[in-house]
Amino acid sequence: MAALDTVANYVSSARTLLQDATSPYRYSDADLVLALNLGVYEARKARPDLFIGRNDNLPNYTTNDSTAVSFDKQYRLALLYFVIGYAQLRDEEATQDARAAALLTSFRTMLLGQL
Amino acid sequence: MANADVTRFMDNARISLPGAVDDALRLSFRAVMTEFLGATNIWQEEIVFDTVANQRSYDLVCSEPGVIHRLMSLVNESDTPVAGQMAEPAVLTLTTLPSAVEELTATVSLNVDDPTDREDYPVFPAWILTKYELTILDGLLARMFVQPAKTYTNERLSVLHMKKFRAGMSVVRSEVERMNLHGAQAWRFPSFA
Repeated sequence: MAALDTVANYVSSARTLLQDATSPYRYSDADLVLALNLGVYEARKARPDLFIGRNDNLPNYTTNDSTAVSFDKQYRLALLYFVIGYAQLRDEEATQDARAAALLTSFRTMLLGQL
Repeated sequence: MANADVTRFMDNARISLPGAVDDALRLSFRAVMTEFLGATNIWQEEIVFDTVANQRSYDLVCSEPGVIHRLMSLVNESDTPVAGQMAEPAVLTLTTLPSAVEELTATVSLNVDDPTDREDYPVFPAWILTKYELTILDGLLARMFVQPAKTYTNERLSVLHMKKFRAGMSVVRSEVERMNLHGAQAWRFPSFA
């Protein structure tokens, strides 16, 4: 099984990097799944070639489960960075803001190769 | 197509295109082959058929897994050219209405069709990729490098590879006209002379 194959993989990996691995979580499943959906939409906007053959049917994940996330392996880390960056946008500490911005920038840089 | 050839070809492309996804490579590969085959007429087939008295139009059917692209020549049994045209691909229209049954041979050039192989690559004779791998690779790289906002976008390299692709296709056209015969000239006496 490849890395970051399912919604649960993304949520779990995001929580690890968010240091939010112990229940009760600071970032809910719904928040992280929403971030995953938005990341897919952003990826579709930036790199339509990642979605060839899907007839514009973008996935809509609803729960933290074993639903497969079909995303090119080369860009799964970028998608994970978006999930984490988006989640951290809600934090107000200066360090978290910088971290969120850096992660969202990384997402775009990894997809587009440049700023 | 030979799998080893395609695998090596795609590996060569991936090396130069960091971050490219295979679906995009396959799509561009097909586009490049459409341009390459259309511009060079390298994939040809002879189709033999009988005319019918007072029938001017004939549907041509090729046996190879491609689509008919262009009418290259039309001759009768004595190798004499017969006037005809193909305004719509695969529909041959004779200039003169035939008055009797006659066997004609239409030489047509082919291009890639919608059916693809199991790995979704375009289907065409394997020897074309074997012989002209570098020219086709130049075409693929040119198409990929020119795509906007990708990790591999590179306008300068696109121009370079497009020039090499065009130059390579000129060589291929020349070899097709000379039937790969070294030292031959494209011009020859017409068969009726």
